[in-house]
Amino acid sequence: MASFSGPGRCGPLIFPTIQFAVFFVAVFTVSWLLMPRPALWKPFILLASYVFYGYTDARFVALLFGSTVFNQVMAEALHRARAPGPRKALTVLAVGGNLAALGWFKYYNFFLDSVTDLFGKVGLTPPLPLLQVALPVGISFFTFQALSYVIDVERRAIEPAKPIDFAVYLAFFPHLVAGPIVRASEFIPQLKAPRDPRRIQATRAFFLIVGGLIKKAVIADFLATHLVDAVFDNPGQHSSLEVLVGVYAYAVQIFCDFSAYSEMAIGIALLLGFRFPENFNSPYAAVSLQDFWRRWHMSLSRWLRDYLYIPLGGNRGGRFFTYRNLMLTMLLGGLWHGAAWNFVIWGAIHGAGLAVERLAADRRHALGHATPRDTVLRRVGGRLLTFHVVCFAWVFFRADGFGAALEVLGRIVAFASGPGIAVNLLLLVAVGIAIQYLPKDATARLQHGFSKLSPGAQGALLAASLVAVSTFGNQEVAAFIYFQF
Amino acid sequence: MTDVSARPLAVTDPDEPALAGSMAPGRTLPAGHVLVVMVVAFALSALFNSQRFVHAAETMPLGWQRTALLGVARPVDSLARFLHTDRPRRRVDQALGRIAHDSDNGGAFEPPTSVLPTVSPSPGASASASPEPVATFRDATAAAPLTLFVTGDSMIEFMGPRLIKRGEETKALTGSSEVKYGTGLVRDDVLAWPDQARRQMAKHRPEAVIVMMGGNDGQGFTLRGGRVVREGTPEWKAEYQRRAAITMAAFGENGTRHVYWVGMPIAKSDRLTAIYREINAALAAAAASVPRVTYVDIWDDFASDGRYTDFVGGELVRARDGIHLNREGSTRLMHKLFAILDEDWKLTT
Repeated sequence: MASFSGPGRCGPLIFPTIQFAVFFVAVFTVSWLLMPRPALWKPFILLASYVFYGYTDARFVALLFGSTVFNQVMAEALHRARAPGPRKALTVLAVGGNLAALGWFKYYNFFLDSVTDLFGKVGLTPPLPLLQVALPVGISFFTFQALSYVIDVERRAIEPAKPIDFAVYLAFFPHLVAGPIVRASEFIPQLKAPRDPRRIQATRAFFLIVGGLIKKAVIADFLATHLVDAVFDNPGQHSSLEVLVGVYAYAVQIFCDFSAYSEMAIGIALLLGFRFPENFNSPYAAVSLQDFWRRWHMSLSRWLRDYLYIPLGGNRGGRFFTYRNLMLTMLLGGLWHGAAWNFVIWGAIHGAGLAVERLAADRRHALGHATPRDTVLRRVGGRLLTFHVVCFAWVFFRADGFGAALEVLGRIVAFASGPGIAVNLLLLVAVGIAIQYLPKDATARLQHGFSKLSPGAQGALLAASLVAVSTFGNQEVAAFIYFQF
Repeated sequence: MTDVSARPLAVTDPDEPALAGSMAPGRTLPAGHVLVVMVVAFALSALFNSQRFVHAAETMPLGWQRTALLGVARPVDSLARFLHTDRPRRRVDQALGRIAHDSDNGGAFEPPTSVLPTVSPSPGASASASPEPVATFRDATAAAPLTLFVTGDSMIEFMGPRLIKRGEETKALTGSSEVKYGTGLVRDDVLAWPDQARRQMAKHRPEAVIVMMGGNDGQGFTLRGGRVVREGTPEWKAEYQRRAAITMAAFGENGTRHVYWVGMPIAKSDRLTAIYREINAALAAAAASVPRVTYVDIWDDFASDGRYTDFVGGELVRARDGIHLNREGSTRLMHKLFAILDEDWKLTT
């Protein structure tokens, strides 16, 4: 029942809205009716996905369709090509084409701003025209999926899919707008046979969706509107303690926001009979940055590892090249999030942190020291240090530019006094961190109990959850943070 | 194929992806069962949350989807009232101090007669009702800074904090800002701005207030009894001007503080441009009728030869929706407003 308000803003068809609920009930019903007949089901789900995507801006459906055609043609050409020369040329064309589209829509203005600044410093006019380039929602996600598809075909890891299968894979609406980034090898095999309408993993799906709603509306949006936005917009108006808690609150907000979307996407896909990869695994319980990247936005980190870090050489070129590759991977990972220098700085902090961790491990190894024993103290220390490095990097990620980030950090160490912080905000931050330490099967017994209830009782419990989220959640639900990426 | 040791970033092997359903506990359910669960859940949540359901439908942009959803939401709300299933939510809202103006549209715009200025329905005629200007500006200093409050809808989202920050650099200004997203003067069922203004002024007690809203107001009024006044009609213009004057009076508290009301910029959509032009005329007329209200016109600041433009001075100043100002545009507006404040309150001298 949460509704996205905004002055006439044209938003995508997003999950926690009445429009999406109506859309989904209709698609769910027709999808399972058509499921036994793939020749009808596939065009239907493709059309539904295009309607979902076109709700933002119908023109962008053409872009998605164009990307589908281009990548399918490239994949089939790569599959047919045997000689190394043409294969290399086709790979360059396929990767270049995808990056060119991404670069045009996402990075043109960023590039132009940077060039304009540079030229301005020496009194010159930039040679490029000013254009207003609209950013299609989800372009980073579907472009990375398309890239993984053509690269996997080039590597002979997979064969080209049928065109309709590839189109469904790229456009499938649960993951289209903000991931998870699903590999072709994970999704397309699921299209080979109709999903079984008698065996829907609905209990888990409902728990994921309701859990996501709670994280989004009750925690993320509440913290954003009651603390984070105010602190980052004007740190000078807040005490040092408020700013510090505001930074912790942003860490909780972005986790609850993004993981909520991922969980809802996974849950919605499960209701339609499809499985997606997990995207989060208690990231703030990480004991190191390397561990953090095994737990945060896992589908992106897998992508960066397999299509960037390893092709760059991974750790095979010696220590210096390993550090360089880590740094390059994280810098480009930062840039993937957005066309701004603050994302590059965010990536640089993580890249440097990973390189330092690697350096320490290499040094220990070189000196013949054994791996330190895993003690409680060491684990707690590792978690605290990692969490604070991650929070430090989040400041640059969230702040409106480098200067604004320094202002936030400067305010924390200014020890400025001020009024206290509301207990409910502190409690929400604590809850947002505490949920990282819940065991993975924390809700298993609840799910088991739920699955034994009658449909009416299950519906009533879900209704109670929806009403509770609507009542106690933030009354102004903001768009998901990762929509902009 | 790949060197496992060369994988410091992630734990999952791409050949063995951790697919969410593969670790799902609990038994599976058939599609028919799931459909029944979803329909029951949505139906019950609509019945127990009917006000919110109506509210969500009403705040959608005008069009067939809004009409269709309202066609369902309103009967559901009537049924909920009949069955009293709306009561728990209503009681929680009351306990949490939220406003409920569900069936009393227009009530907030009926202030005490002492607050209500004389307003002519015609912008042109309002000049005759304009009160004498009361100049009560003073020279703000670091010892006695101007206290400023900036509020409105999302149009002030970026501008408000920047203006406060810029003012605070002079040491002669202090203040804060508050955005109420998705609100305006038309939809008092969403937020009744006169009530909101009184609450804000009671809490912050500023000497001056800057208000900017209207982005959501390109829609018809639903008056008491459900009669709809379509946007752009003479009756709509008169009602908008009346509401603007009442809200200005609520902010200004009979001239005890200065109110700067910022008009809407030109929009990319021709329809919205026409409506914003009407809104600005109504605001200007209303401002002329309430003591110590300055109407700030920004139309030409974001237009080129009278037409919409994304770029001003070589900089992209508008958001993608063609309504909002982006950060650059907000900064430009901030400078304009700061210059006005500086002139009135001598912030930098």
